[in-house]
Amino acid sequence: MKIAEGLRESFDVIRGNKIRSFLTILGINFGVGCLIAISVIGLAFRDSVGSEIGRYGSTMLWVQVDNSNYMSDERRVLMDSRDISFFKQSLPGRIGSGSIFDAAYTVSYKGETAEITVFGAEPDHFDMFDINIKEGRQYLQQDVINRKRVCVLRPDIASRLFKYEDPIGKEIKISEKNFTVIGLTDRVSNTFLSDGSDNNTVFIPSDFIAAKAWGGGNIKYWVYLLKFENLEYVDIAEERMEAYLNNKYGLLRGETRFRIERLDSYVGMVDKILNIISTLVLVIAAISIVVGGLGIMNIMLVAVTERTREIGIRMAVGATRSDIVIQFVIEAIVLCIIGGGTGVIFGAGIASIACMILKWKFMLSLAIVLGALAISTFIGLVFGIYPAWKASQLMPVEALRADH
Amino acid sequence: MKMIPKIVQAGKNLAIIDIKDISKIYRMGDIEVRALDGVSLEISDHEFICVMGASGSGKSTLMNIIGCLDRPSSGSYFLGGKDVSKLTDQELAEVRNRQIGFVFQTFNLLPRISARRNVELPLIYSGYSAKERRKLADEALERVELSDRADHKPNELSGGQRQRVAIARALVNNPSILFADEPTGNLDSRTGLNIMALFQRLHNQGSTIVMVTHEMDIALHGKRIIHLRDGRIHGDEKVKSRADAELILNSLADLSTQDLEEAMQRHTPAKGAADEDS
Repeated sequence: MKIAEGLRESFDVIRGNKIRSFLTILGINFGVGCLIAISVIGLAFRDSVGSEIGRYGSTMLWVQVDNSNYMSDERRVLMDSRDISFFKQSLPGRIGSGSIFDAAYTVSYKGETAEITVFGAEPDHFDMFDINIKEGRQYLQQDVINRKRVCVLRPDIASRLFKYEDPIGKEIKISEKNFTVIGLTDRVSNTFLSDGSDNNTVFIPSDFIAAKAWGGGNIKYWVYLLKFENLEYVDIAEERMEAYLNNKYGLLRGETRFRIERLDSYVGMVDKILNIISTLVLVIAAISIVVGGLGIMNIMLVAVTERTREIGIRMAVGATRSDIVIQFVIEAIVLCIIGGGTGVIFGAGIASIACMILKWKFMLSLAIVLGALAISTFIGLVFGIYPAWKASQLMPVEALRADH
Repeated sequence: MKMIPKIVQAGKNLAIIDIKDISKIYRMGDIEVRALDGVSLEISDHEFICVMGASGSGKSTLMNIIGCLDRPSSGSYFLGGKDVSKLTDQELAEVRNRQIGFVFQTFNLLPRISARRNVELPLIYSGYSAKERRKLADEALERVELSDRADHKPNELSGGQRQRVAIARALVNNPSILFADEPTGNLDSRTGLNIMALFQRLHNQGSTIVMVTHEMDIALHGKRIIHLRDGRIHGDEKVKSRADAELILNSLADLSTQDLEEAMQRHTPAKGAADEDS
């Protein structure tokens, strides 16, 4: 029997048993739809995480006091400004660096007051954490050197203090000192990686907080962040910083006093977790496809029993066993491909809605579509063969004797 | 596909079908049922043979075996000089496809598809193109005078028309032998006569016909009658005065068409009332 004939027969049968075919197709449809939705959403998730990390660049590295190696009441050794100058001067490829000092201060403007976190950050901070300035400008190294009292506001605190006025150029009080607002940032959304600031944060040059924290004495650092041009510079930096710090401060009971962490190692970790999640989810989707396949098998077995007479008639006019097998397998595959095809549309629809809501990038690759169709065909083949073989094993006379 | 050559008539009395000592045993639990018990039979080319017997006499079993729908439990069967027991299932299917045409009591048409596609069915398995299939099917439908019903589905046809579709299907691949299993069993006697007239016409055109029936008046349309009882042949005789279905039909038709129309007019009072009835 030619494939074309088999296809024609299949469509006749599907038309003739609309409800049943519809339900069977639905089974495969859900399985494939799940698979498509999951892979597309998974890809979009990965992409969003990737672009999130890409925003900061995975070429960031930070060094911080390694608390886990200290006893709880032991005095911590902190980094001082000489260490910082060493980092700034002897590490090649550095494109930004800085530390963060944060403190809870009272902020007020014309009677409006708020208790919020004030970030003491260096000018590089805005670039390193990709903080967009929406209005005005960020503070620069020049402002820091001239000890200008300037600040940059996040949107929520800005609208809280300035209900009807434009904040730029106005003076606000931070812990009883006047600061001029010179910039407003974009709104931050929930992200995987952040500097810890939120939409209520006020940024001021770090010296103001650091000086106050250290009582006017030498500023010490818990943590210091650096960003480099590429990962090779990160490697060099990691090596040199470790050697420098261990050499200068010595080890603590054989352990390092400072921990150096790289963003790209976090990226790898996130990737690993994503892989585990995708695998789990794919297993679930695969199970749902197999369940759909069993549905196909069930329906085909019913069809074989129900159409035994037809099989007998076909054999009586000259159909061979393989003709019968081919016919039923084609029928199963057609059901599966229709189910798979609509499943692709269904799954892509769900994924696009999910991506729209989550603001992820919707990507549907041809490989996924073809893969889903290939899987459907395979399922049709696998689960269609047994019923088809069973159908072909009858003697024509036995098949003809079957009741309708 | 390996081609099995059409049976060639070498000598005048060459047996196209030659069965010797055929038995068919069915087992139902411990009980053994001998549907056929040592049947031997020769059928020559261009015969019109009727197998008669009460129900359970084994006539359908015999028909199924010589029609290659079933295999015997023992005995030998040569079809056109070929030992059927040595044929594979694949080759048997080819024999059914090319050398044998089957007509059943219950028509056995596929309900989903049109008359034409039903007739095309055997051609699908012989590998004809769609165009050739359509042409051959239309020719076969013309032979049974059903060209105008080619696009109707079986449930849109009368019993006699369905049987004619089935006959067209049996004829379409130009088989050596036509088998008919109680072809008039589900039809009223007038329609049955029509079908018998068709078989006689096909026989006159050269077909070999083997027919199973339990009605003597139907069997008398053939040329030779074989009686089966309890799986054995009890009689094998030539028909002396053969019934001519066409003639009988003509004599009936002359009388009744007019009568029928008059009667219908008499019994149809008004159009509205008749519609309500239906």
